[in-house]
Amino acid sequence: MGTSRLKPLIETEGEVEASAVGMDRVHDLLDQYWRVAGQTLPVLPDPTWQALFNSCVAEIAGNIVRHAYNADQSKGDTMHISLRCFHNHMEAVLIDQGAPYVPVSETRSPDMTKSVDSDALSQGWGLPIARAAGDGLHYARSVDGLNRWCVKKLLPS
Amino acid sequence: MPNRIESSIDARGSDLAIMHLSGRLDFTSAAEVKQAFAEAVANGYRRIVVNLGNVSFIDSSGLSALVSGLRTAREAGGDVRVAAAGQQPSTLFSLTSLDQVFQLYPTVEDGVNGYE
Repeated sequence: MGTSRLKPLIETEGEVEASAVGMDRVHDLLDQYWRVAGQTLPVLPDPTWQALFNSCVAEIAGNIVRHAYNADQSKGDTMHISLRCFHNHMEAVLIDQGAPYVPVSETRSPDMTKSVDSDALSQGWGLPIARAAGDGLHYARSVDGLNRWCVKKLLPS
Repeated sequence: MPNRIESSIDARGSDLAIMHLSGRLDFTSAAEVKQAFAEAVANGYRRIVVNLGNVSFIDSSGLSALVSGLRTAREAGGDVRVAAAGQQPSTLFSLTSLDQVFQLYPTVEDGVNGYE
């Protein structure tokens, strides 16, 4: 699953500092995107749908800040975020130049009830949530060292 | 709504308190919230109602902070209940099945009354 090649109906993008402080900008971009969507689309997806899409984007961005870079040591690292709407889906593409993502063999469901009885299971829920909240999550590392995350979510028919 | 998390404790009895949270509860603020739970329980408030009415967004780390607080309260013989969660937090509680672990109340007063 790659990026859609069609021209998007809406596109909001920005370069975001890959740090804890930069998460403010991630949420600003999402707010900006939904403002434009509200002015452009005849009908917006319902608030639950929007909440799931926002959660996908924030979880992936948070994953980049914490794992591709060192969240405690901001060195001016950035990530590029594009939020796009097509006729049947929305997608977010996040690109960074940090450390490559190392996939875990286990593909967890986002059932966090397991974490209640075990502190050891308190972390690592971000990508399972992003995967479950969207309709497709793809990661690729380019030969020139770019990490590229793309999450798609189908619009309600 | 501020993006930094702010927390405050509103005592409602010898061991019952409301924890008001305000802002975004995510990996940037989860440690502060875990610490707030630890301090509340250390001060004797083992029954806690978390007011999420002013929490604009919660992520997996934010949920983990609430689970950590729940564990701390339960170890002291108490509990944590959640009140006034907005659209995005409610959606995430449902997606992660944590709505089966936390008792969710529409209002803070409902949460307080739930203990009685």
